[in-house]
Amino acid sequence: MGEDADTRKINHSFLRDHSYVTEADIISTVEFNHTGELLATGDKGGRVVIFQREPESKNEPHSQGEYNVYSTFQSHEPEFDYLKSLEIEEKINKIKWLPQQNAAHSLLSTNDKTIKLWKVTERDKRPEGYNLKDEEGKLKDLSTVTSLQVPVLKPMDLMVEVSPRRIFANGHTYHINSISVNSDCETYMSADDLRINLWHLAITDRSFNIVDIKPANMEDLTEVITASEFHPHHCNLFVYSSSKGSLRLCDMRASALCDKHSKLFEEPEDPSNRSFFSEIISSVSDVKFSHSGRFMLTRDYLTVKVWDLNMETKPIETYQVHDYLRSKLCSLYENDCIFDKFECAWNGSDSVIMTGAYNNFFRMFDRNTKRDVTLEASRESSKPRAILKPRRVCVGGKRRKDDISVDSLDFTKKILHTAWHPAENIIAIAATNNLYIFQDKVNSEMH
Amino acid sequence: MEPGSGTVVAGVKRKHPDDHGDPQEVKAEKESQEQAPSSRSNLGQTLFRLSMDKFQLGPQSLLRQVLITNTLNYIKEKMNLERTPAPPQEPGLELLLPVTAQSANNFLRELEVILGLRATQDCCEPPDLSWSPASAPDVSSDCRQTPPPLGASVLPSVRVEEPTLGSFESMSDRYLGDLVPDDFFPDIDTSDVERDPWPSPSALAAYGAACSLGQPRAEWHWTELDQILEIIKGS
Repeated sequence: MGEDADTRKINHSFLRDHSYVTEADIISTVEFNHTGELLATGDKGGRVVIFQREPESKNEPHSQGEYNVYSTFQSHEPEFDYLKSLEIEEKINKIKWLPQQNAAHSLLSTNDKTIKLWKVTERDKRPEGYNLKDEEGKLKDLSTVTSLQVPVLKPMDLMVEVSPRRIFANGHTYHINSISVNSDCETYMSADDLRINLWHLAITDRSFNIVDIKPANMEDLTEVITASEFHPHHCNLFVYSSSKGSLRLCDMRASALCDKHSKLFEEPEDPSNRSFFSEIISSVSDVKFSHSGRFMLTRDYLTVKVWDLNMETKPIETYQVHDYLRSKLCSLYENDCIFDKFECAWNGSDSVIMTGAYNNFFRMFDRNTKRDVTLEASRESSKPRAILKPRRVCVGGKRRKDDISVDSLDFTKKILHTAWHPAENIIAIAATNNLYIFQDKVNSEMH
Repeated sequence: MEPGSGTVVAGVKRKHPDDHGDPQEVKAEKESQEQAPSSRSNLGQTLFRLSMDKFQLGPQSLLRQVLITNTLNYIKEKMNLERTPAPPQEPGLELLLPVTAQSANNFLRELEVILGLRATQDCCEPPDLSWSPASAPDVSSDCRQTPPPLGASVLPSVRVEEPTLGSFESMSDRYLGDLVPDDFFPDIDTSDVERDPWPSPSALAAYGAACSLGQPRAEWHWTELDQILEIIKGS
């Protein structure tokens, strides 16, 4: 434990008070593992930081459930494609944990082009008492070996080792926007702007192209793939979203190349509401299956929608995230914010959904009670055990104390990446270079 | 690179050099015009120019390029629709467009060529190393059964908590920070290589003045676009 503690001490010493933010420090993805014990973040500098939830401590009752840095490693480095004269950024686009099969944990991380499989292992014992090797591993002088002994495992300081197991390269011409591990635990898919590939986790030199929407003539290109995910229970099903706001559910049993979808989920557009920005704001930035597999959650620029897999014609629920921005779309187009890709998340029971917004605000919607709340991730509210106060954006009219006006929103502070613990009400919020972890006070006290 | 931060991080400033309007005033004017149906053609004109700007200067994201291209095409359709009847009671468009309908059409044609050029560059991509669909084995051979009804999916057996909205609290303040080593070069002046920070909302508003509607005719020089087009073609 000693070395583990040292490691954490070192890692904590890396924390710095940020009066400025460098590009590389910006968190670009957040992901809990399947048990919620581990939480991984990736950043624009190509680094992955893994947090581990601490067990309850008798001496420090408040330490229960806190996440501490477990391991940090450099996943991707900047590269240069000499054939195309293009720089390949090291930014981690997505991280996905593999279901745990043994004592080790495994995760996939990807930048724009290359996916890597990492293995995270712990070592707290080491063999001692070899007959032919000394403690440093050097061969002993055989003349000094007078008796034979049985090597023994001795406890040592805990060491967390992260090693690259597979590198899946050369599978994508365009930028990878999604990876998703299949429920068969043997395959995963990776999606870029125009194609989706299916990989076997153990094979790096070949992949199956399962979706290809690249037109023969690129002048005809009007739609790109924005996100995709495997169904949580049916290994043959997956969904992908598009820049035109549609979702396509595909069945890999139908054909090897799923050019023809099984179901198309699309909400008909009201022609009277058509505007210059209609297509941009309807582009789906994220799609997530519910844990039950019955529903899909999508995020576009202004709303989150819940779709029933049995109803393709329209979403069963639509929630406004920040409708007050509808009148600001021209400015948001000009400053490029309209292209921001907000993610969305389900809670463990699929009853609440969460997504990010501007001004370090994030929104939650209770599907049963239809209540919604706006919360803020800020240093002021992040003191330990401080309860988050609901925030309200004032759109004109009567303004209450603590309300913030639309014109005061800081569009540079945006919460794009969020994650919800798979079973408990613990959420991780990435706000620029800060990671906030909040838990539901009511439920945590009941435990 | 985040899509939203691309142009700002790159330090590309697209503010029109002739634009000296008071940011607040211009912003208010813009918002009022955004909402006024009568200014739709003005807005279209402004967005057209803005989209051209973005298309040429934006970061290399296919999604962004496609969305901007589609927006350009939509604006073009709208402009064509508005121009076709050529009613005398539509002076706004004529005032804002210091070109004739014919030259605008030429410009749009030129734009199509550029979009085409940009698109055809992608055709030079190296061969995809992944397996071609034809070489993929028949996945369906192993699974002949029809899928079960999707609605019949069973909930996971893991017991999950029900959250109470508004009762979330911070677990710790130790996650704040970017979890990376300290600056290794504290004594070196890196100001030359540091990138511009995000502009404040007020700065954005001021910047937004470039997008303001109904700018006088003299402020918009189509020759600039011609120059840009020439540069693109030349490159």
